[in-house]
Amino acid sequence: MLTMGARVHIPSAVTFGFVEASAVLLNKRTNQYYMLDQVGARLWELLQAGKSLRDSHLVLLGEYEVEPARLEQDLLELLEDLRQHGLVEINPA
Amino acid sequence: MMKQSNETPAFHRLAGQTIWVDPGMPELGPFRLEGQVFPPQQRPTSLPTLAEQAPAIQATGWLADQFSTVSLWQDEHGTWMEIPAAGRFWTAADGSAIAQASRIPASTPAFIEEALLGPPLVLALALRDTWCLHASAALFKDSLVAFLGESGQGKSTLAAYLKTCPGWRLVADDILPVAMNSDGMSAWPRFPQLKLSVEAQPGPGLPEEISFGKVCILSNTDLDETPAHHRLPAGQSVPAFLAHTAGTRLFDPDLLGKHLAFCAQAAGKVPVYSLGYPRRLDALPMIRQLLERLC
Repeated sequence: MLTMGARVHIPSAVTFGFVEASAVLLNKRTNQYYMLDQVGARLWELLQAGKSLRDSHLVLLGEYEVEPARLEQDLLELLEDLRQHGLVEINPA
Repeated sequence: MMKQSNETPAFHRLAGQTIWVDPGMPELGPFRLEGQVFPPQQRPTSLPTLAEQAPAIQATGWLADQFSTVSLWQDEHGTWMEIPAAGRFWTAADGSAIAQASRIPASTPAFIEEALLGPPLVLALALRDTWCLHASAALFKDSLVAFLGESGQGKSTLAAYLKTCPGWRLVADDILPVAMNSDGMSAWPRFPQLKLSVEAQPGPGLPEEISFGKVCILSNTDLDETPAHHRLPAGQSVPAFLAHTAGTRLFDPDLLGKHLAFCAQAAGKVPVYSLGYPRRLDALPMIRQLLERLC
């Protein structure tokens, strides 16, 4: 089960671009694109900069008015979706 | 000097790029660069035995009203393509040349033309950072408007109507090559529009490069609605550029990455509008007025 202690890795087959507050991801193995909204794009930016999932959660809590538990649930759901699309690799804690 | 026939291989100026095309074609006559007859050096002299290797990419799509599977092999010289019912084609690794390498005897000249000026040329341009949008486009005064949309949403109808209106000129009616530059995005309209006859080609009479004005994504609405538009945030514009670029299924991973970067840049530079379009004749003048206000 995915938890906030998991380590998240962006595979080399994934490329991405930022457009204003959004981000678009491309899995070059499957030729599939994935759009991230503002919060998702910020998470991606933090992960790509080497932040852990837990640290990213803390940064986002400082930037958005959201309950910690709600944000945690949203991040975990997003990461699970990204994992299923081959856009991240996750090592459980 | 003896003038070459249109079928003689030659350099052509297509979408702002100089590309060797072998064989030449009557439809490409307006784009030929006369007097330059030396082929690029890097073209291999013999066909590799493609059947011995699995293709690197297989892409399906419509080509000349036929659903085709295009198989691609890559080597150091470029990309070989096998198009069923047409033959084998080749695109140089740097996009400087396209060629028909072999031909299925039963194929018609028209099909060969669509095959060579389809996947091989689209790939050649992409390798030179010029991307082919599935779009119609028209120029109002100095402002270019491109129309994107799924098949049947009225791109060609709208462009055909606009070209009859004062102040408007047709720019493209199927494929619009575009590229980023330091100021934004430009269209490169000197490109054969295969839906149009040689006489009706708009490209040769247009400037080679036109700065981009706007993109409108057409979507049909109920017939009793009036045309309406709204501007899309840049983030929502990216999928439009991604989805409406021709030939992306031919791209290898590196080219897909470059294409993504182009789409992100384009979405940040070019205003994109959603244009609700009821498919009735009296809506066309309303859309024209709306577009002229936007320009």
